[in-house]
Amino acid sequence: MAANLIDSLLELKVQVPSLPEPADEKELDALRVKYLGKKGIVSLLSQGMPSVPKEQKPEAGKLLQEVRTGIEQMLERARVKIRREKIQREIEQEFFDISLPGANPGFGARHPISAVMEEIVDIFTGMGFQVEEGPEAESDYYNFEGLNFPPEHPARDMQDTFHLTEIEMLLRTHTSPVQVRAMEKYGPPLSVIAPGKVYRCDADITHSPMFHQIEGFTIDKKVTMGDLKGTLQTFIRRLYGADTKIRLRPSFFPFVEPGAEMDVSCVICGGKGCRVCKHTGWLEILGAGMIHPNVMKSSNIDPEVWSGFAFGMGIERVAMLKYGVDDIRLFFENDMRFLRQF
Amino acid sequence: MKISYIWLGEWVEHKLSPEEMAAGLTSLGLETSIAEDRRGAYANVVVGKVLTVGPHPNADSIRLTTVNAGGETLSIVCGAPNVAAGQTVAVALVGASLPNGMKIEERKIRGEASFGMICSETELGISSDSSGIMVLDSSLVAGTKLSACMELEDVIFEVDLTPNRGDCLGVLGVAREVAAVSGGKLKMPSVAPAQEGINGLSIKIENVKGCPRYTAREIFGVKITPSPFKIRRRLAACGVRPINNVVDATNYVMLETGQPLHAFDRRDIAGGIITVRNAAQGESFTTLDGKTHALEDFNLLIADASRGVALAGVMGGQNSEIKDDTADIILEAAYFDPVCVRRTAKRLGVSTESSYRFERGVDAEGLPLASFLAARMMAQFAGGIVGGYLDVYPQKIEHPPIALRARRTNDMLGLELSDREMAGYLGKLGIECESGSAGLFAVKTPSHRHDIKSEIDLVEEISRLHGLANVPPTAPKLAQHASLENGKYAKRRALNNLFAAAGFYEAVNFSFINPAWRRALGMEDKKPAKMENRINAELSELRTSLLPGLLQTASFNLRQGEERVTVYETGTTFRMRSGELHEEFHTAGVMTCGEEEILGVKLPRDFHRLKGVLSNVIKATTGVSPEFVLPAQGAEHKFLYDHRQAEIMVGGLCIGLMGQIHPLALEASDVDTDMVCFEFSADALLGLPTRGLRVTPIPRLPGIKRDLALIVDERVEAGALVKTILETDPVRIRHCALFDLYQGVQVPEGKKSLAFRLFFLDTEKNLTDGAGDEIMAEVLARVKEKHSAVIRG
Ligand SMILES: [Zn+2]
Repeated sequence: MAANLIDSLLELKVQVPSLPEPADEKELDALRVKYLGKKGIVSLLSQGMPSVPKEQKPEAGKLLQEVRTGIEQMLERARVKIRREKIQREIEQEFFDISLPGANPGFGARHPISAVMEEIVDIFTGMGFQVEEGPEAESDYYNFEGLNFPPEHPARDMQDTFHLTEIEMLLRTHTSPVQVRAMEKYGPPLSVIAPGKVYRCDADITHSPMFHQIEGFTIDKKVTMGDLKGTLQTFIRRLYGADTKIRLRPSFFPFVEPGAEMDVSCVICGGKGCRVCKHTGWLEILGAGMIHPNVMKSSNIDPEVWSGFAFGMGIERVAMLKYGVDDIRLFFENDMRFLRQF
Repeated sequence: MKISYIWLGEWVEHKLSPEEMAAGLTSLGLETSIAEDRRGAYANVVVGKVLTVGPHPNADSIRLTTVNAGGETLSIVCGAPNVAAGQTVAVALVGASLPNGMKIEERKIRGEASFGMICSETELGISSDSSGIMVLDSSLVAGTKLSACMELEDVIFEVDLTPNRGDCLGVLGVAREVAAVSGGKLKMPSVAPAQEGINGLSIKIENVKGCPRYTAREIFGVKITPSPFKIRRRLAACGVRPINNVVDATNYVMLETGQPLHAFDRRDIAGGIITVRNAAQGESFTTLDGKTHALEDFNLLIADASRGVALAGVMGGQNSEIKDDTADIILEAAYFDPVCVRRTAKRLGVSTESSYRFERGVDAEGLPLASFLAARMMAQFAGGIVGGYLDVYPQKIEHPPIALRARRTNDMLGLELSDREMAGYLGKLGIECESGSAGLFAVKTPSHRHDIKSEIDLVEEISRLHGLANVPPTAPKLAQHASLENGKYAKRRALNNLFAAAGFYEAVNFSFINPAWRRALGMEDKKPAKMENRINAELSELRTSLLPGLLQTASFNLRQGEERVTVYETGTTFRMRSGELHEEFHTAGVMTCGEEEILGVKLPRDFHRLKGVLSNVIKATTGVSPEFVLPAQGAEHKFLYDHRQAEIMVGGLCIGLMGQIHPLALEASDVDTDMVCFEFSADALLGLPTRGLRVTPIPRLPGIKRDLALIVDERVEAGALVKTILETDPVRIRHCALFDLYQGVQVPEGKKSLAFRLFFLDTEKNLTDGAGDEIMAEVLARVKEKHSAVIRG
C-alpha cells in the first residue's frame, strides 16, 4: 500500500505536465475540482499517508507537496492565459472613435511677433546679454540728440517721427534710447538687450507706423568690431541654422561708427537667388556698429577707456520671413483667422 | 540717387564692369544696384530716312510712310503729328524689343501693313517726351545702328546714399569712390582762370554764417534752345527734367559735381548788387513753382537792391527766372549753411535737388570748378560769352588736421594693420597722412570730405577700405551688471503664456487710438496724451486703456463672421498726470459670451468663466489668489453692468477690474454680441512683493468630508455663506467649496439651493463621526442665524 502511494504519486507527477489545457474558465474549474477539490485526486491520495511506513513518510510527504504545487502552478498559468485571451478578445472587438475632438477647452496662442521677439531675446540672454526696457514716449534728447543726431541734421529724415502735441515729447523711432538710458543708469561695463515697440510715420505693405525692434549693445574695455561680427554671427546661426552666412557692409547710423548693415544669406533660397531676396541671395536684417564716442560722452563714459558695439533689428521683418507673411499689416489687424494659425 | 555708368567713366579711370562697380561701391558702403540696363537694348534700332508721307485710307490721324532704313524701303504706319518727308529718324525694325517693353512685329494698322516703327524718345526710354517722333541729325547715315551714333547703351545705377555722404551726391563724388575701388586715377578738368570782377555788380554777404562763400559769373548773349541730345538723355536718366540749355547746364553740373547752381536773368537783378541777407519777418516771396510764401527772419534770401530774387539754396524766384528771351545771365555758385537751408526747406515744406545737397553739405572749395563747368556749357550749347567772375569768401572754412592713432584704430577694429597699410587706405581716398612719431598720424582731409571731423571718422574710412569682410569674428566676454535684472520682462512673458494657455489669443494693437473708441466706453478718468498723426488723423491719442482697442478687434472679427472672439493684449498705456506723461504696462482681454460645448459638456463663456481664468492666472503668477470685490457705491465703471463688475484685489491692492460690458457701451463700440472683459496693471501685479511661499505640512490624519445643501433666499451671496461656514470653526474646517447651485421647481419661489463640500481636520487626533456631526450642527446653527439658511431635505 505504502509503495503504492509513492508509486501513484510518482505516476501523477509525470502526468501533470501533459494534462489537457483548459480552454475556458469552466474547464479550468472542473480541472481544479478534479485534482484539488475536497474529493479530488490529490485529496484522496493524501488519505493514504497514515499507512505509509515511518521511514518512507518524508519521501511520500515531499512527493505529495510537489504534486500539489505542480498542479497549482499549472492551473494558475492556465488561468492567466484564459483571462488574457478573454480581455484581448473584448478589446479587439471594440469600436472606438479617436477622431472625436479632444475634450479640452483649448489653448489660445501668443502673437507671432511676441513669439519671434522672445526667441531672439532668448538667444541673446543665452549669450549673456541682460534685458532692459525703456519708455515708448521719449524726449528728443534720448531719441536723437543723445544718440548723436544733432538738431536739424538730415539723418533725422531717416526716421519720420510722431510728435505729441501738448508736451515736448515724441514716440521713440527706435529702441536705441535704451542705450543712453542704460548707460546713464548703470555705467560700464554693461551688456544689454532691449526689446520693444517703436513708431515711425510710414505705412505700406512692409512698413507699419508701429513696429518692434530689438536693440543690443555692450560696453567694456577693448570691445572690437571683430567682437561685433562674432556676436552677430553666433546669433544668426542660432536663429537660422549653422550654415547661414552673414555679410557686413559699411553703412551709417549717427550713433555708431564704424557703422554697418548686416545681410544674411537668403533663408528662403539659401543664397541662390529668389524673389524674396530680389535675386541677390542676401537679405538685409540688421544695422550695427561701434558705439560712437559722442554717445558715450553724452552719458559721461570716457570713450578713451571704454568701447562698445551696438546693433538693432526689426522684428516684423524676421517674422515675415519666418512665417511667409508678405503684408506687415496682417500683424496688427488681429484677425482671428490669422492668430489661430500660430 | 540715379547715376550713369558712362558718365562715371568720364571722371575716373577704371576697367570695372557695371556689375563689378556696383559690388565694389556696395562693399564700400554706397549701396548700389543696377536700376536700368540698356546694354544691347537697341539691337534692332537703326537710323532711317523718311522718303514719303501719305494719308492713311482708313484714319485721319495716322500716316503711311516709306522709310529707307539701309536695306529695302520699308512701309511704316506712323501716328506722330510731326513726321515729314526728308527727316532722319530712329527706326525700330521688326524683331526689336524696346526699353519700354514694346516688341516690334510686322502687323496691320487699320488695314495697312507696317514693317517697323518710327520711334519717339519715350519709346526709346530716353525721356518722357512723347509729343512726336525723335528727329535726328541729318548727317547720320541710313541703316547705321542708332547706338553707334549716340550715347544710349548705358547702365543706370541706383545708389542708396546715407545722409553723411553729401560728397557723393554727384558723379565726381561717386567717381572718387570708384577710384578707391579700381585704383584708377580721377580725371579732374582744369579750371581756366577767370576775369576778376563783374562790371556794374557787387556782392554783399550780410549773414556770413548762413553763406560763407558766394560766387557769381556773367555770361552774355545766350540763345535759349533745348539742350543737345546727350545732355537731355543724361538729365532724364538721372531723373531731372530737361528744360532749356541754360537751366539744363546748371542742373547738369549739379548732377556732375554735387554743387547746386542757379542762373538769374541779368535784367532782373536791379541796382547792381546782390545781397545775401535774412528775410524780414513776414516778407512775401514767390518761388519758381509759383507758390507765394510769407517768410520768417531765419530764411536766407538772395536779394537785389529792392527785393528777394532767390530763396538761398532752396529755390529761385519767379521774378528772375530764365525766360525764352533771356540773353544775359548771372550764374550763382555758393555755399549755404546746411542747417540754415534745412530749416527754410522744412519750414516751407519743400525739398529740392538743391536743398537736399546743401543740407548734406557741399564742397566750399568746389565752387570755382562748378561755376567754370556750367559757364563752359552755356558757351558751348547756348552760344554765350563768358564774362567776369566775383568770388566773395570772407572766412575760409578750415579743415584742421586730425590726429589718428594706429593703436586705437586697431583696438577698435580688432585688426593688426601696419602704419603703412592705414596710410595706404586713406591715400586711396585722397586723404593725406603725415606720419609723426610711430603710430601717430596728422591727417589732412580734403574739403569735400567735410563729414570727416574726428579720429573715429578716419577709423571708419580705414575699416571700409580694408573691407568688413576681412575683419575676423571674435567672441567677446559679455560683462554682466549685478543690478540689471531681466525680471519684469520675464514675468510679463510668463503671464502672457498663461493667458494663451487659458484659451486667449494674443492681439497686438496700435498704441494710438481714435478718441471715439475710448469715449464709447465712457472712459474719462485718465487724461490721454494727444499726438499728431499724419498717416491717420483719427488715431490721435495714446491709449489710456487697452480695452477700446480690443473692442475694435472684437468688432472687426465679429464683422468678419467670427462667432467667438477671445483675445488679450499686454502693452503700454499712457496717461497725463500733472503735466507729465506716465507709462504703464497693462494686460487686458475681451471674450464674447455664450457657451462652448465639448461632446455634450457645456462650458459657459461668461463672467464666472472669466473670473475663473483670472483667479488661476493670478494665483499662478503671484502665488496669491485674488479677490473680486464689487466697487464701492458711486465708484462703479459705467461701461460695465452695474452688478456684473468687480475690482481685482491682490494682497489688498486693487490692480484692475473685470465685468460684463454694458449694452450701450457695446452698441457704441459697434459690437453686437455680449462680452465680458478685464484689464489690470501688469506692472502692479508683477511688482507685488513676492512673499516667500511657506508649505503647509501634508496632514497625516485622514479628516472627514461632508456635503451640505442649504436653501437660502436668492439674493444671499454664496461667498458670504462660505465665509460664515469657515468662520464657524477656523481651526478644524479646512475647506469649504461650492459645487452646485440650483434654482427651479424643486425649491420655493425666490429661493435657491447651494451645495458645499466641507473638509474637517484635526491635526492632533482622529476626528470621529460624532465630532463631525458636532461641527456640522454648529455650522447649521450659524448659517441659520446669519443667513436664514435651512438644510435642504
Ligand atoms: Zn532668396
